[in-house]
Amino acid sequence: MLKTIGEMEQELQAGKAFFIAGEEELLKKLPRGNWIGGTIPYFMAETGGVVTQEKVFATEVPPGTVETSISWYTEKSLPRLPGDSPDNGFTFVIIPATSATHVSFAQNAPEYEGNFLKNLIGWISGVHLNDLGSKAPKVFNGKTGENSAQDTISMHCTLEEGRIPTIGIINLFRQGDGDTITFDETGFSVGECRINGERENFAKYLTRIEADTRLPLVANYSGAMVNVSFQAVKPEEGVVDLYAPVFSGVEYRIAAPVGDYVTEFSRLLPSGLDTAFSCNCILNFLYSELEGKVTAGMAGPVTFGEIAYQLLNQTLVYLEIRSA
Amino acid sequence: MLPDKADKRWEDLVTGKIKHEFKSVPAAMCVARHVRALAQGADKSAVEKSVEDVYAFFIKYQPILKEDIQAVFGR
Repeated sequence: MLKTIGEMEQELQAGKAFFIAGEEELLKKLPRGNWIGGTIPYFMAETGGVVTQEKVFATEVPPGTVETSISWYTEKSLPRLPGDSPDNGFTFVIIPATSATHVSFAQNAPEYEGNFLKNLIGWISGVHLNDLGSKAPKVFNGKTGENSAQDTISMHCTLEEGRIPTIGIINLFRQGDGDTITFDETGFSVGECRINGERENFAKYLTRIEADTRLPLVANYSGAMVNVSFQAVKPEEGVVDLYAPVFSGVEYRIAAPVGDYVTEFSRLLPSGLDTAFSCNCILNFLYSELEGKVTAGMAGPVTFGEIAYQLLNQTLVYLEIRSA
Repeated sequence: MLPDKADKRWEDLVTGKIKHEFKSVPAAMCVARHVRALAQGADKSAVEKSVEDVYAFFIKYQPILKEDIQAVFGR
């Protein structure tokens, strides 16, 4: 929940462990303690979507956690993440947007040895949209006070016997009934694609069909809908920039339009959920105008990307701890 | 209870011959990752390695995969 620095000082001095989101200046004011953090001023609070540079959003490490350890990962060491994650537990990951570790994780996480056998959840840190280009997204190690705009911070959390972490997503987008789009190469920036098997420049294609680029590309991963969001379409350069990479060999379609976000969200929300953490995407916050609106039972940071084993876009990600 | 690793359905699952829309997000991503990798060219050992990985995943998370196990293996 949203807390002042004063409130957090008390919580941390009591020895509690937290995942924290907030403005860089606020995170720098927090006392040393068992926490990791990332920069962002957008939140889905219990009372509704909010933008604040006065409070941080703190999620206490879930009950049943018996051990925690904080680790930094560089671009080179990032593939070790699943191997370092506890067998019975999960690893909470925060990656600074546009960093080398962001790009590397986005492109390679599905291939990490042991991924899916372990549980990686987290988010991509960002900045206020007015500060894009002038401030760098950062992540923090609360134990040491160090921060980085390049490396990834993680907290490995071991759970007591009999508890199973479950990572879920709520994605309002489904594949539309338009063309099947594939790519010969994996990447964040795309030139050529194949439309129903025929080669075409992707930027020119999107311009030709007058695509609504607020709707992401959607791939069906054996039942899990995985989005890739549009950042910029540049027909004159023949390039489309994306917020996550498209992968070769995956079939994408542009998403079908959704109605009112909160109504659709409520319809898809599984009943009886008791979430330990959740985060939602800045694009959902903006396009669906979530400021002041409540997504019941799902409070947390609004992010520049969501992590559930791999990088996701325009998706709500949550962690639930179940009893075996 | 899961079928033995030698059961042909494991191979059919990782090669995409069994098509199932998983309820579990990690199960969906895990299986899709192997289907995609094997579709881009696979020898027998690659298929065996994928079966090993997916089988290990199902063994570990069996308690939370009941609906998917019932749908795929009828158990």
